[in-house]
Amino acid sequence: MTYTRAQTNARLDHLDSAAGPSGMVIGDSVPVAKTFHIWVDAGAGYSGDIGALTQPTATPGAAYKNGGFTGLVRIRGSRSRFISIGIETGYQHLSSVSQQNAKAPGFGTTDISATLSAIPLMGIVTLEDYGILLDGGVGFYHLHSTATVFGNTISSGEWDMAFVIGLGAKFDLGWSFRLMPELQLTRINDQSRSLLAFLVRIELPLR
Amino acid sequence: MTKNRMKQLGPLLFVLGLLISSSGCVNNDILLPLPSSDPLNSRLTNSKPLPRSALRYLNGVYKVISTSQRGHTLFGDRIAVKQVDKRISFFCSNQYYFSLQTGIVDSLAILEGFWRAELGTQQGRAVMSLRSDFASHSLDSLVIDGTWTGDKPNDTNRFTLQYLNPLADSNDHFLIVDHHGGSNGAGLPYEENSLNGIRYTQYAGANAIELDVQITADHIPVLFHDANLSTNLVKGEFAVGPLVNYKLSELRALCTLTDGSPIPTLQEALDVIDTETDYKAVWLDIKDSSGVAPTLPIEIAFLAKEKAAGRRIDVWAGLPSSDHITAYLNDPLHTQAPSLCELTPADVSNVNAAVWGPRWTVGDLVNQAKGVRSQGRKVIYWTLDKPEFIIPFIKAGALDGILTDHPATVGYYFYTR
Amino acid sequence: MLVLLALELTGNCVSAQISKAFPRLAVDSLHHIIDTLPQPEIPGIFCPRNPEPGETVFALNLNVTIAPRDVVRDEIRQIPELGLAMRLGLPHHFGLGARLNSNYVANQLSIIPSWSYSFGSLSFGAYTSASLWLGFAGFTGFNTFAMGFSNAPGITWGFQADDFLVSASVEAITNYWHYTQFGGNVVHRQIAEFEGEAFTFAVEQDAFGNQRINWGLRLEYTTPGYQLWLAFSDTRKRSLTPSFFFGIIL
Repeated sequence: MTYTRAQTNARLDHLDSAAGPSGMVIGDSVPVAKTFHIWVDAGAGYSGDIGALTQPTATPGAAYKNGGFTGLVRIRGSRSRFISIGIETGYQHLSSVSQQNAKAPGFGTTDISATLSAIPLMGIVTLEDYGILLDGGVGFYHLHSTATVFGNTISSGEWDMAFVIGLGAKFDLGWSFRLMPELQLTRINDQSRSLLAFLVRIELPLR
Repeated sequence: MTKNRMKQLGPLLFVLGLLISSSGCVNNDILLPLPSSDPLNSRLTNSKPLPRSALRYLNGVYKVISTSQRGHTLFGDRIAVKQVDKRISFFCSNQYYFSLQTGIVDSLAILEGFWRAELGTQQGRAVMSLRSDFASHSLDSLVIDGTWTGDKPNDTNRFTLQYLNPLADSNDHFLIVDHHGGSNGAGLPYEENSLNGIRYTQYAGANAIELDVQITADHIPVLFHDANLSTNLVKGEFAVGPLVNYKLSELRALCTLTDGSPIPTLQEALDVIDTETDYKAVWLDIKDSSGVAPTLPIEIAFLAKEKAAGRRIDVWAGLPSSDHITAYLNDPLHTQAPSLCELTPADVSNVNAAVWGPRWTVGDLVNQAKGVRSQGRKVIYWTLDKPEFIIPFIKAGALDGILTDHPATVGYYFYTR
Repeated sequence: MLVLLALELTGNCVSAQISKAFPRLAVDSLHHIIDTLPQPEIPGIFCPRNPEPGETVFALNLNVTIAPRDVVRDEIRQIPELGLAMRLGLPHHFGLGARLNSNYVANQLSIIPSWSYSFGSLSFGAYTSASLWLGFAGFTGFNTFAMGFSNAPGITWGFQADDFLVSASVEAITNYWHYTQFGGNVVHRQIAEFEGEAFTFAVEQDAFGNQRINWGLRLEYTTPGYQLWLAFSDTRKRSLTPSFFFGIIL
């Protein structure tokens, strides 16, 4: 683990503050960092439904597309760089379908055009060391569907509980920015849906 | 430092790994197919039908006089045998049941079909026989003999039943109301509130049925329990959120029930009940009070059709809340639409409901139930599933039916009491 | 401790000399020394390490359980509870904990004997959680009381980083006894039924000055538990039930 000069100085400052006039550390205590740090990061990438790889969700004859753009924003804070807690939100395009002459029992056939997207609102815990980040979180996903059927467009959605884990790495870009590629797995529990996302984040410390 | 930090990450990696693994562990309902018959070996091939009147003669409580130890463990020592439509059902003590199709081959009456657990996935086939002229002989000499097979190869067990005594009620005065329109609590491979569920749950012990009614965006009553289209109940990635956001045509295009069948309308369900079942009553559980107005005309039209055909099926509009009662009383059609009120006996009188449907968790309420019944109304408790809760209610009497997810279980304890 | 302090001071002096020639090496070696200083053992509620003999820790928590939709369907899904937890250190690395979780309708009292061992900042432990639960429902549609007994042996891991105590545990829950009273009827049964597993991730840390807090997530993969007793579900299917908790160490 390589520490920046600023990190080294911060740690030495804390040792100094616990030391007495002689410069000795007094007692058994290790000084605890009290400064609260805040980071914000924004990322973009691609996500898809893992289940769809083995269980096709579209009917035969449909032009079904699994996955799409993912954009996430996260703000997190901590007194310790090692573990931090934050909130994440954003937008994920999950799937789309276009089908002609789909059957609607009792109503003949119709053309269907539909998309499914999600807006997450997750509480995230991040563990970070040696340039590796491990995230875990719980929260809610707002699933939203827009479908055009029989010439009518329906927009409908619901909130579902979800869990997320992620594994990423961190690279210094300079000027305090960091580049963080990440692989993220989300389970939307009530929908029995698992999403796999790959995204690249850029992080900026705010404080 | 490196090793320590790696060790420290260990438990967290473990927990997060469990999160990953648990993401795959959430079960969807498994709609287990019924054990299939072998057409080449079916003993009902080229059989003549057995008349219903003859099948009714078989109704009774039977003693299991011969089977394997496993058979006694699964099916118990006494069985309630009952005619249902053109089939015979057996209701057993450990929440198992048989559904057997019937026919005459040569001089034998053949009963052939499947057995199944109401809870769990155990099932198998069964073939029984008795003399074809059984209806002209004394019941005391009635013996039904045959075999049942398990899910393992060559797992064939003898199964012999001897008549003991009549059923507690052969005329379906006591209503065993199946929950959720054919709930797969009866172990059937059909989704709840589906037309196949309605068709087949009668063979699992139900002689009445409860249908959950939701309203679409174009005000059509359909059978569906939840307010939202969840993956527990539907297949259709792009049908998300409240059902009321979708017209019926849009629902039909975008999704099906998990067993692949379309979400049925209330009208379609009543038509199936009328033409393909022997149900004696239908409880319409209207989920939202806004559904009362669209539902009453369908109920009234169905009752008129039954009356004209000389058939009797009771249909009750369910009123589970004061909002429902208000909507019902404000509807000009309410005097023609019998109702079932779930609140207090005073509310039952206020709306002049035909049935009081109290929650079983209030206790057996014997005195109140007797008072309601003395007014010529029925009392049906809901929703009783576990034998230890069903038995006290049956023993206490003062009830006309039970709403349940396990009709075969209620059937066993009621018919053998 | 003195040796380590000496090393640290020596390291300071040495690094000051080395840093001129080899700045990065000096910085890394200094951090290595800082990081190997022993950290004070902070007692906690969730961490495996038991308090010192005779020492007690108390915590007040708010738990929110999200009931699985396939059990409660469209009915109430968010179940909040207040929780009070206590932990007493005993000799030879043993400890005794107690927890009371309550929302009046469903209440659970747990006694949790445990044993733990720690080396450095890492610790692990084993425990068993013997629980009695009581349920009261006297509102519209209900005249019901129920209670039951369960036991959940488990193992737990954890570590300390600065003032953070991070822990994870897994336990297996078995129900042994269930009693229900509805109206004038009573039903009880004694059956050892395996309910499922539960995983807990917890963090205890300093916050708001010297106040210590705890927060985390518990995931149960079980048949319906005591909090869902009012559903009277007889399903043997397991569902994922998350609970979030947040509290303060008193």
